[in-house]
Amino acid sequence: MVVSLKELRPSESGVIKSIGGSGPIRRRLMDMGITPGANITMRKVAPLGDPLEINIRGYELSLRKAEAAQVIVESTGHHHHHHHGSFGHGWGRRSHGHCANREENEALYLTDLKKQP
Amino acid sequence: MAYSFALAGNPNSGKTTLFNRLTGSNAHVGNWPGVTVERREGKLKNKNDDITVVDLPGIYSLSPYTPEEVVARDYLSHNKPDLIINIVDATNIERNLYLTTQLLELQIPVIVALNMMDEVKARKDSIDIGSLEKKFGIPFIPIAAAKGHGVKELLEKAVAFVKKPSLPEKTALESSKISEAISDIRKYLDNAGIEKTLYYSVKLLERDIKIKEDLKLDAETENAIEGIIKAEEDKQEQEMETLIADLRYRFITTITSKSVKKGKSEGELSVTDKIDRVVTSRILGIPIFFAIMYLVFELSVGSVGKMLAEPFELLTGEIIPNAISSFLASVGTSEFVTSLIMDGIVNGIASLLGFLPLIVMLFLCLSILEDVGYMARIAFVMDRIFRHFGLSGKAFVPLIMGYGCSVPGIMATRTLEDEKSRRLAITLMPFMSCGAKIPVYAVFAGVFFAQSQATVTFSIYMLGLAVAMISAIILNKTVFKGEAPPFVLELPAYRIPTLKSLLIHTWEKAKGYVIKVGTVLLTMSVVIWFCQRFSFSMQMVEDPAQSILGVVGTFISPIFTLNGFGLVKNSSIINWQVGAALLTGFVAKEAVVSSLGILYIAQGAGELTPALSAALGANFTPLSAYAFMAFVLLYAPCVAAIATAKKELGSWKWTGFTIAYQCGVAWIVSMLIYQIGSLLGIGLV
Repeated sequence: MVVSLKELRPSESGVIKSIGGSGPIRRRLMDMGITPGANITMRKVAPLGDPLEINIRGYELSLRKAEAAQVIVESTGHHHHHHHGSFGHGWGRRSHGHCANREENEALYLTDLKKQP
Repeated sequence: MAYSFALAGNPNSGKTTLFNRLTGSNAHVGNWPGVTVERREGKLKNKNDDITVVDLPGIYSLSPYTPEEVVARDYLSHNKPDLIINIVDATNIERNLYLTTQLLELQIPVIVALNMMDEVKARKDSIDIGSLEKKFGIPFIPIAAAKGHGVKELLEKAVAFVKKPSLPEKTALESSKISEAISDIRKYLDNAGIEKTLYYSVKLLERDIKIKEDLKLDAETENAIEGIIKAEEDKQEQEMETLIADLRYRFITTITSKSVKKGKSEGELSVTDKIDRVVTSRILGIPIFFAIMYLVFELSVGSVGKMLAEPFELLTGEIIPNAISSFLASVGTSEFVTSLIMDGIVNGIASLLGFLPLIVMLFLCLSILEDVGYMARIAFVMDRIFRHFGLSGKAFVPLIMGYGCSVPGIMATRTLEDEKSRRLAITLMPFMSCGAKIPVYAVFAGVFFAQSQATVTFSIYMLGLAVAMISAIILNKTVFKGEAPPFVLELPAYRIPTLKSLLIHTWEKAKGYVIKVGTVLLTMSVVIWFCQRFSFSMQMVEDPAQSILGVVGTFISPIFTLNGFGLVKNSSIINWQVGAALLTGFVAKEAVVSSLGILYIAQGAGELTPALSAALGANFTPLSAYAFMAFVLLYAPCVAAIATAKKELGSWKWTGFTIAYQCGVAWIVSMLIYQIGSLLGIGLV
């Protein structure tokens, strides 16, 4: 499913398709490693709802939703970071493929987080 | 032989730590001309050769969008160092090597210092250094700068390499599908007599406007090159800027996918991930942020800081001055000389040094936050609030410092990414009521609002905050108009800072403070002393009204007629003491109160005595007193802060603007308070 980066849910991954916008911000995004074909994972949303934290090329990058809206990604589902316990595995399978029910995924994600030590 | 090395690398790659390791502590810290980007230069620890190393600002790319990048690329292309030591964070190797691919295009020998190799080992990752050297065509030296591992080898290899330099056969883009376009453009540049044709041809391909202007090619060549770029874009079906960034990263990942092996599986959480799950979490993120800010405030300008400052103040404010004054008495100096030394010089030094423990603590705390990696998290957590005011979340730190003292607050604006945010934060700084203004509020609220002293003082602080917010909104729509600074910020891995680098950072900043502020404050202190005691005809005067300060005070006080305190209450007599006291406030804000004491009743203790209380009561109404407090809150800061602002802003134009803005706002707000209060009939008696 093709969405903008800002629409990815926490711990959902995608492959970058294109970078819109123009000028310095666009250049900066590419300099930081946001280029077509790169894998990207949404980490979290800041406590006040913006900016976002993403993982790209093995490091953590923060950008605002406005900037993230310019980046188009192909969602590859939840990149499950913490394989602890059977629930995590089962859930990991379920969420791969299409993300038709985002609310359900989010709820499961939150339940899963609570199970973390 | 004499050589010059340039140290280049990404922010957070351990560049400054390596620089300190290479040069010891004999570095010279200054600014790059025209910009507030720090410039460090030092001599390398090497006995046989004379090697200067310049620490370039931390940059991600050689694009022209931040002052840091412009400084770095101008230095590299104009000054032509003999060697670039490119520090690369091995734990974040893909993005770090992106800069390497660009540095290699400058056709200057490059040696890579592959830093944080200790962390790579601890993670059980492995990096095939031999294959990196082969693929990039340059030496890679594994180091761990924080521990000092490999630094000696790096130095030896660098010296050997600069004596027998070599360039890689082909750089990333030369071995890519756009290599023909590059060599075509290079031919045109060769004909135009330009050096570094590889670098400039890539920049032209990227449509770098600044480089295009700098090269001053003739129209014919420009058109021919534009034709090549257009043809290449059509051929590749992609716009060049994206394509080039993409090709660089593809070149890197082709290499790293083979030579870098991860020990842990992809999904496993790193220490940083675990810390961030708490520290920037939805629920705890903000409380933790405020707790840390409170701690910093307490340690520097709060109770702990005051506790540390007290013995120091006793030393510089009493013990040393007393010793000097008894020495002067024993020598039998004239009253004039004693007064000059004691009131002019010693007082100036004492008020400077009194702030030193505070400054040192503050910068120690800031260095820790920066080196640990929390500063970036502050921006992450607070950005949402501050963007409405045209600032990034990072601006919270300097502004909260302003409540202690404007000087470190202004110095801390260096942590902001862009010039516009720095200028704005510096302009707003005095509205964060600094510690030295407290005596002014204490005395005035004590005399006129004895029943509600705390509420009135609190209202002054709130007024400052409100003026700051409104100012930010207005300035963003006028003077600082333009695109909001982009917020694309790396959240670096948490690291335990080394004591050495913390101490070096703190020492450099404290030294800078003492020298810059010291000279200005001392001069000003002597000038004010002189103006208080001498008339325009250079005669020593007894009556302060006849002194230079008194005459100037008489001249400027009428400006404040509409503000209620320009004239003595219920009269048309000029309240000249107010103008004079506000002028002395430029030396230090607490001087406003002691000056009023001296000028009204010839007592300058700076405390509320019955005589001072009576004098103020005779000259001010409660309303004009409140308008005066508002003016003191908002008008331009002391010379120490102005000098610091000049240093950080790098221009008199902007410094002048901030002073004019602050004084203008102070006058307007205080005038409105008095006029509206008068209309409503509040506090007139």
